[in-house]
Amino acid sequence: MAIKIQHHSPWRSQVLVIQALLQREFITRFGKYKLGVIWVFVDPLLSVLVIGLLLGPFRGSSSGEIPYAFFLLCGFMLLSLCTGSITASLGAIASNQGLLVFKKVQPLDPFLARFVFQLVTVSSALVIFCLIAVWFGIELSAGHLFEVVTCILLTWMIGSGAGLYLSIAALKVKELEKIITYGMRPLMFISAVLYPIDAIPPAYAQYLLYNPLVHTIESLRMALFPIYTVDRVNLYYPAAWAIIAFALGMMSYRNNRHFLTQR
Amino acid sequence: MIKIDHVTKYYPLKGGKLHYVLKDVSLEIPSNHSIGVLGPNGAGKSTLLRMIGGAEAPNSGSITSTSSISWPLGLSAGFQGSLSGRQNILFVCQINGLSKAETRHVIEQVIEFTQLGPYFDMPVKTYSSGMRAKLGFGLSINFDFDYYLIDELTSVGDATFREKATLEFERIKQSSSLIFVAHNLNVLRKSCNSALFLRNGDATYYEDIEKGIAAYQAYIQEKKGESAHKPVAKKAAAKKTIAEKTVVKKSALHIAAKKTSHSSHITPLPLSKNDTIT
Repeated sequence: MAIKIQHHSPWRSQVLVIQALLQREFITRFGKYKLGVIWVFVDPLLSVLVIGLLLGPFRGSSSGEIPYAFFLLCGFMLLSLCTGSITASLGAIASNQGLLVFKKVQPLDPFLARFVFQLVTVSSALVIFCLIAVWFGIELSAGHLFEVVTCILLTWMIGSGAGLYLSIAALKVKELEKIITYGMRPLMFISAVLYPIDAIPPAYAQYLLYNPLVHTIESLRMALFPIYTVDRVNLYYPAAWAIIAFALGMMSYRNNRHFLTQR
Repeated sequence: MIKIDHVTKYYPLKGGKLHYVLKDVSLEIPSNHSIGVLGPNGAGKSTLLRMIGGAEAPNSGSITSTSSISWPLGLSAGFQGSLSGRQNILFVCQINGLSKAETRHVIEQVIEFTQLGPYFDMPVKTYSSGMRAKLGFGLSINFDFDYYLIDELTSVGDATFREKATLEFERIKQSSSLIFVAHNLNVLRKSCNSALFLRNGDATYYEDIEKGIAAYQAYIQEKKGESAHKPVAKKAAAKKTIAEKTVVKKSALHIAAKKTSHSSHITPLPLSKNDTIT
């Protein structure tokens, strides 16, 4: 009994491929661990714990109204959403080469699957952390959910667009992969992850404010804690970055899509 | 029917030059017809299959078809090394939107066909090339394709697999077409009616496979002649031919020995190496 493959609408077909690739990501990412998917939450907690232990003694409680651990966690999660998307896209083609022989799997699909994977894991971790925070008695506001979602989506779009653009470039010029990996390291220090932007002298802060991640990270904190205020950040500036990054990534894909299937 | 319309395909070489695999080729591949693809190494046989299967796009021109076409089945049969055989098969079932019952049926059939045993749940990167070929072929025969693209599938794998594969080819040929790349001409003769001969960026279609094979062999002879007439350092060339001759003798002996030792087995696809031009 041979099975006749049915024709699906382009949208249905696309959803099926992304679903299958997502499942493949979860299997290879977490299948080898005993704790499995739990690592989505344990990973950032461990990173924050290490940074907190290193910086905690120096900071005291000067992060103002937010407990420092949670302050750090907010920044760290958004930063890892951006850098994680870039890192994930660097290996997207190479680790799915075998699956690209199927006509239904276009070279964009592994990228999309990995971006969705990042979005799903990071935002679900963030939701869990917020619930834990509430349980510990930290007062979070649910009144600015729209801003929270916008912050997450904008950071994700910046990371995905930049990741798509940079990784296609890195497939052409191999050195770029190394440069990108090292280039992302200082982001932790210049994206207001470890400190509030108001703690930086205005003379320097004006340069840091060119970084769109400063805006999304501080805006997320403002949305979650209404008493936390930062004056100079807004969401229009990172939105412009997100649109430009996404457009550049898609343009680069469109121009190079035949190159990506060549072995 | 598959319509290949003014297709050009090239790959960039080091130094900015282009290597043309196909140059402005137009063809129509009829359905219910089995075609052997002939050509020297690097002539673009696998690339043609990948393009027909939709894994790669031509640089210009178009390949259009309303039929269902398999992915290129061969040594790199479209599996992800880090996933197990079962997970890879689930992936293919998923992207094609198969129901749960259909997926279960496919898995059972593949287990039965491949006889991989515990390896079915091991990562595909731990498979031998024969096991990979089995998995890919075992999966594809569960689907009802109009065209099956076969890329050197039977050159790996043991006698049992070849026997099974030959039986399946016979069954497939009843209702579908094979587009078959193989260097073993006997395999092609057995499974195909027509031939497509690729060389120097050009493709010629022969209604009768024997004519195609004859043209191919003539081309090989011509090439041999050309390289013999080339004014090279004669001593080196002479040395080389002597070396080659001894190698040939040795391998011929080797094959002869193999043949006698296996003569009790019934090999479904006799591997007379004399016909194999690689």
